[in-house]
Amino acid sequence: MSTDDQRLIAACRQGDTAAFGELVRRHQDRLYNVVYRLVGNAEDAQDVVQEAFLSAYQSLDGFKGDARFFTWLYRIAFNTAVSHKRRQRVIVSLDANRSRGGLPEPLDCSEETRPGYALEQADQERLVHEALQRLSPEHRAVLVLKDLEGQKYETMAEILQVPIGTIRSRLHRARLELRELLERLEA
Amino acid sequence: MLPERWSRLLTAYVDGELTARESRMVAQLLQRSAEARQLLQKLQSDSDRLKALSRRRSERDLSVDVLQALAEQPLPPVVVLPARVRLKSTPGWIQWAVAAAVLLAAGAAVYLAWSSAPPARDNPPLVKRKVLPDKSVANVPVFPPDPPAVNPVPQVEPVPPEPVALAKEPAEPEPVLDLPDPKFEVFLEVHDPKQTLVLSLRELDGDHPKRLLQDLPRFPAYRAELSCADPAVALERLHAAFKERGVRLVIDQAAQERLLRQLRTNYVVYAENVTAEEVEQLLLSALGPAASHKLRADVREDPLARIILNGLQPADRDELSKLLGIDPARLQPTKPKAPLGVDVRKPLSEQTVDQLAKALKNKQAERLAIVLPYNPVRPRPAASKEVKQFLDNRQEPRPGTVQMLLVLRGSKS
Repeated sequence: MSTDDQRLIAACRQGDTAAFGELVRRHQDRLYNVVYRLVGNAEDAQDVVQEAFLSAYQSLDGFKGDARFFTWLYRIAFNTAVSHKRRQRVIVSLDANRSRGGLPEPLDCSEETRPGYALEQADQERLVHEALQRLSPEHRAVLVLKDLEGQKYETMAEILQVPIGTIRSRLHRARLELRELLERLEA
Repeated sequence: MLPERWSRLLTAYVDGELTARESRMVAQLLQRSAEARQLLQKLQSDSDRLKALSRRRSERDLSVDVLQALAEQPLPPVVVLPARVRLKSTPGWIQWAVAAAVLLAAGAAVYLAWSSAPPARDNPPLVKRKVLPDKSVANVPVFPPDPPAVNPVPQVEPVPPEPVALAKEPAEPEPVLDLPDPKFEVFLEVHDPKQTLVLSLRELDGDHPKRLLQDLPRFPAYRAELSCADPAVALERLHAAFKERGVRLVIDQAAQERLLRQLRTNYVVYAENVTAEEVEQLLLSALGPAASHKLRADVREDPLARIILNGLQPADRDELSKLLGIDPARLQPTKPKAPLGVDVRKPLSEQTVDQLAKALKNKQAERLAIVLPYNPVRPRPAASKEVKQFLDNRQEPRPGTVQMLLVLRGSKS
């Protein structure tokens, strides 16, 4: 854990909420990107990240410091994303059914999807994103952690709280399933 | 097609997590198999495409929202497990005093629990006790009222109108330490796989399971285990299905509280005096194609949702008896005498008026099913009005009826 994180956490424990604000600013972008790929859209990603930070603040005293702060934060965010997804599942599924009928809509209003961005690249990205969203949450999580975040099995096991063998096995199934989905979407 | 052990090696290669020995095996495999080379190329390409996904950033600075939320809604104090370091700093006599106080409190609680437990009833009371309305959380409806049925099932007793559902409390962050723990559960074991049916809920969409129980032996009591992403949603479906068949779900107060607070919980539903056909219909109408579109959408989105059906085992009965706070013998299925509980082989004069009254009462009594929290919390049956209500309402088994235990388990637990 970086000394800056340590210093900020210590300040938070003393009741300094501004220090927590600094922690949020330090980690929000990276966490948001991961959560965005997990939940599939910008609005939910913002909600989940915000909720995860609030949960982290609430249980900051329980953070022992034996893991990296960001690993610990990941774990909270993944749990939050799962429960958020459950609450939103019906809405998400209806949206997904609707969007399957035609071309996928732009994912959000961020820089990459504005008009003028290379169409081919955007289409490719949408395709991969859609395939990712069609995976089960478990498979999506391991792929995001491995390929987007470059985490090792060991850290992934710590974040998802499952044995390393399970991580390896899930990644195997996830990669094969993703392959099938991409082939189907590209056909 | 490549054997799975080879494709596993290839995916681990893409993950960049092979041992030296595995790396050599992959190299040999790639040398001799064009199919392996092709698959690896595709897997690597997929991985590269994932890595190439653009980095998303929130449109706004979330720290502002987080700090604002903290300022507006002070969070409850942090729950920290008792730290040994703190205990060391306290004088020894305080530790002993605390320990003694805890022991005294536990002893008192056990005494109160036993003394307030309902007495063993070999003969259920003839007159059902009237349950007084309670304004506590126990009577807060946890599910929204159902829309009026097209063909409502005629009720023997008038059913009071359901109160309007209260607005749900804002979802609280789930306490990490409060998650269901598989080690906590006895119902996890499947005793005889040959007499067990395992079915993905997605399969219920097709024509396959017209009769869920047809491949199983006829059991006097069934255990169904539903594994799904959100047991609370499944419970909502079951609530409607039970209601359609004139069975009212009585939800234990602890279960109600967890439902209202949207806490991750595994539940147990227990019903008696249902026929095997009703068990099928309940499960199919709650989970199968007949379920509403909204609820089916939830099932389709949950790839892990599955149902396991088998007979109730003695260990299950013991566990259930603990949850209900009664002797396991009281859950043993008894042989029904005859319709209405009256022995038609004997002249009426030999039977007491009480027996007849009891039989008639049984015919008219409302059928109840009980919902209990199972994991990570369990009910306190001695203090549960709902458990008491269910036990007081128990009826003599009717011919052809079975017991049904349903375990609703979150697949993430």
